Amino acid sequence: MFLIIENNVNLDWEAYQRFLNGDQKAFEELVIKYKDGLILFINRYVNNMHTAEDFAQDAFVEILIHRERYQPSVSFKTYLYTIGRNKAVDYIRKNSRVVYIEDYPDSEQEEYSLEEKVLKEEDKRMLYEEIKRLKKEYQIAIMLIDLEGMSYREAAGILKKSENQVKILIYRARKSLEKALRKGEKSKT
Amino acid sequence: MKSDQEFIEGIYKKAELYRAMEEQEGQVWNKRNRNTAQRRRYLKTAGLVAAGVMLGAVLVYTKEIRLNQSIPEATPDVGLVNYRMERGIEGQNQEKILVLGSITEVYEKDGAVIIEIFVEKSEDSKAVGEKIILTVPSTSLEELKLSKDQEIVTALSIDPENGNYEVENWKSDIYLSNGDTSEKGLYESWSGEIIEEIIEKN
Repeated sequence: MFLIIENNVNLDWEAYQRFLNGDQKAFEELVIKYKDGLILFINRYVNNMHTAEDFAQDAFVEILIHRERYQPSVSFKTYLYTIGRNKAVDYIRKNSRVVYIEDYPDSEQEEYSLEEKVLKEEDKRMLYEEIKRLKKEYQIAIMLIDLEGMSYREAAGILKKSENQVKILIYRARKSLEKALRKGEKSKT
Repeated sequence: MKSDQEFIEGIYKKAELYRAMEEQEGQVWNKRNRNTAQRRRYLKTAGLVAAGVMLGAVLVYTKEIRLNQSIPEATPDVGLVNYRMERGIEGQNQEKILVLGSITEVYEKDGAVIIEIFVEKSEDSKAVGEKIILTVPSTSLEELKLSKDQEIVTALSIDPENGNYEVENWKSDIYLSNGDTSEKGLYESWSGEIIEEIIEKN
């Protein structure tokens, strides 16, 4: 598992270097690789797929314009998700009076088809449905660590928390998820 | 939802727009920036005022740091930044360390109750994110009414010999959750003392 992640990081950095040298295709490869996951991640904050898609696009715009800012001390994914998170958080702060009651129906449908694309296995998809019912910060922690396979350190960087804080957050999130799953099983029987 | 191609095209369009805006802003800035003696004088004064304000802020900040440093371990990093515990009864348990966590295992052994706690917060920052094992002598599970997954706060003293946490008197030192602790929780001991957990939102 570690080797696979390491390889992925190296491949991303190679692509990014090509992008720095003017290879636009390399940038597009990174966009296609990460855009769907990023949209789902931002959607956990803003609860609207169109807005999430827009912010994901903005995150890539920022990378395109300020390409020299990225340093490979963190993975490209961590860097990208951090930008995405910042955009979502800014938006929430500015629109704190906006209360989302339900997603628009087309937004839900779009989210589902994107989930299908990103979360290929059925089990993961079912789990994701349950995760969406948790508190927002729990959803995000589980999404980054359990679904995206990020380390505590990477997630801490994105969420602007310490590793210890992330450990506690994911512990509480998993516990909450476990409770919800147990409850679901009981109601089935 | 946009296709990959539409999504990428959107990025380029936005980037172009962004660059155009930046360029425009730059032009406006250049126009404004035609220096006059009056402008220089104004900038000089503004600069001095800003420097004065910054110096003031630095002095206040330094003083604040000194003040904070003079309070030994009074506000330790307890894991979550926006978290603190407040004791309901002034003067109680002052020499003890408050530890908050959830019970991962609880069982009886040799006439004592063993409690394993996953520590989520502690006043001395020790063991956060780890498990601690507490032994409560001369009691039973029936008496303590503890169960797995319960949120618990314990006021622990430290054994001077080995540095381990210990429960001196379970009736006053074990507090159980009374409500939803993930938002704002009250914890009550068997002797009726109440402490409050406060989580300030971002």
